[in-house]
Amino acid sequence: MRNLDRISSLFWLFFSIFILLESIHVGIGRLQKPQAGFMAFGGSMLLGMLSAALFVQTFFRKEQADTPGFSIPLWGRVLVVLISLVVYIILFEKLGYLIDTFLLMIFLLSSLKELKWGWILVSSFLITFLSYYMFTKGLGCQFPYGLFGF
Amino acid sequence: MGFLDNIILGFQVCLSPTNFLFCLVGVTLGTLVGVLPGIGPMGCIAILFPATFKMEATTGIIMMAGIWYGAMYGGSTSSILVNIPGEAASVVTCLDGYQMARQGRAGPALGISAMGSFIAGTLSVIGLMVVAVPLATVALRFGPPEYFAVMCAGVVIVTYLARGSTLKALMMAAVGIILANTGLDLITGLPRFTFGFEELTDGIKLASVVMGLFGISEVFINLETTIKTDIYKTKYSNLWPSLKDWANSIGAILRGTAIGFGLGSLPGVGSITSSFVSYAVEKKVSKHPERFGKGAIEGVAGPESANNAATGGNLISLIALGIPSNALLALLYSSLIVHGIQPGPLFIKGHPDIFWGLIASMYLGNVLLVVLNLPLIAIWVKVLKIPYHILFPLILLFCLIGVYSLDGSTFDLYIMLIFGVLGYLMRKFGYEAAPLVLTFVLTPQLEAHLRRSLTLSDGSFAIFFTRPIAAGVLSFAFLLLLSNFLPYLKKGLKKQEAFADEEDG
Repeated sequence: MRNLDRISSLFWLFFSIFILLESIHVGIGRLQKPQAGFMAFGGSMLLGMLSAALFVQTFFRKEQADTPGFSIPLWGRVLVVLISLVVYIILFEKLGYLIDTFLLMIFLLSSLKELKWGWILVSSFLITFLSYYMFTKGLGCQFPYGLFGF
Repeated sequence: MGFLDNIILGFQVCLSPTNFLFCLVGVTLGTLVGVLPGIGPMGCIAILFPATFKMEATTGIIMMAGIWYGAMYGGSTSSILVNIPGEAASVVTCLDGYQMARQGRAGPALGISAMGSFIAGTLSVIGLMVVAVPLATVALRFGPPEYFAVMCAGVVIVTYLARGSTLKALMMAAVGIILANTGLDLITGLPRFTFGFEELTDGIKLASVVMGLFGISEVFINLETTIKTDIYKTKYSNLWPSLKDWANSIGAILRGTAIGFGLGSLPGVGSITSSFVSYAVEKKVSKHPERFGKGAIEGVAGPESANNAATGGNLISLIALGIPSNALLALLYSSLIVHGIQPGPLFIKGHPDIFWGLIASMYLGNVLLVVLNLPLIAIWVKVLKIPYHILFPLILLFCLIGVYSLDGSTFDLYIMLIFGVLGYLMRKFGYEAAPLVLTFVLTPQLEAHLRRSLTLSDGSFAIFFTRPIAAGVLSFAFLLLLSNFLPYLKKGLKKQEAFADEEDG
């Protein structure tokens, strides 16, 4: 955990410095008349100080035994699902809700466990159409039609 | 209007066909997500949050509250039958509930948990009615410094009670403040921190943040682990507890109710803390503490009552002060804000239909939950068997549709994914999302009150220390924060003393 804390504290420290500079650019004003960047300036100062404290703390703290980590084979699952979601969003307006969601469901349902293809296709079809009906008719949402007009 | 008139008004509101239907939908969904490991009430409310924008404010809040307290009921089912808490507040129920199931007493465990939840839920609603109205009257005297102080105290309490490091929780609170500053400035109307993205002019949407941090990241975390739901084969036909069970449990139920409501009414203290405190108290007052962890029915009745009673207590600060005390209430708060309704001291007087409708719906919801949870237990057991590889695509799809349906913007979907990855990494690196969401929601008000206070005092921070309420609340928050770092300071002093002794020697 100590190494993870060191990495994360440095990340938040750099993030706070970036926001601090940006808030000065936006304008922090005076105490009598605070401007748009005032609150973010305060927030980034606080974050910066706390991140620095966490970073320093990692050098004086004993390592705890129960440290969570990244399991590479299972972490791969997360990456695959994340990529599929990014592709889904990219194609969302191009392919339209029905086709894009149908393809995503097929992919996700078959991604973790081997299931029968017939079952996957029928389930994906049902999920896509029921969700479409529920959100468009029930809640009045509008989804993109895409290239094929549906 | 008198008390009775208000109650009648509340029932008229909640018994309208639409509100009744959504109360039923809320408690059913709540029970469902409570039963299912891998998605909690926060994730479910986050997913349905955009849908509430298209409903009447009362209907939306009735449904969201139903999901919340419904999950408290449902959570106990998976704790007792599978030894996996469906949601965090039911963790402690596993200790004795699962042991009771192993001894063939799953029925009474489920029964006392539902009945305890019902009694506690109902009593906490009465407590809410009694406390919220006078507190709102007191809060009418609050000015910007007092509001700023109370909000700061709320954030401090949430970070103080964070499961992990307080330092990290405070860091997340600061990140929430920074993120909430994206978009147009409230006072000058100038865009800030948009980095050239026109879509950020309206700010980062709360729905994208919460669905990413709680919905998407929860799925990512669960993809790394295999959730096994091996249901302990036991009889759960005889659900009504025996007279002896009742005699053993009634004290625990009443104590759990008092603990849950009392602790829940403090900003930042939620159902999880209440259930743990209740368990500890039951073990302390029991003549046979050795029975705890081996199937003591009080170990189920107390915590289950406490986590339900806490929901009523939690609503006090939201309704009377307009301050959400946890991330889940922050969503309820935002749902009202979207409809142009400001929770706070004027809320009960200004919108009696919503307040009393919510109160009545909670009575009604508690009755519906007993009906849903006891006779239909077999259905929930079947639901428990749904494998995660079928469940997670549905959760992801609802997150995607939910965010897209707000503005029809794929940009919001990308933002949600970014927060999904951030939430996943935050869990890996030991950071909690709740302080971030709470400050993200509170910052617009926090900023407005701070800037107004400073303008009033001509730039002097003394305004927060010369007004008694603000000074008292801020001192309390400061002391609380200090108490967290006291062990480190003591350690540091001891080391210094030892070093000085060595040098002297």
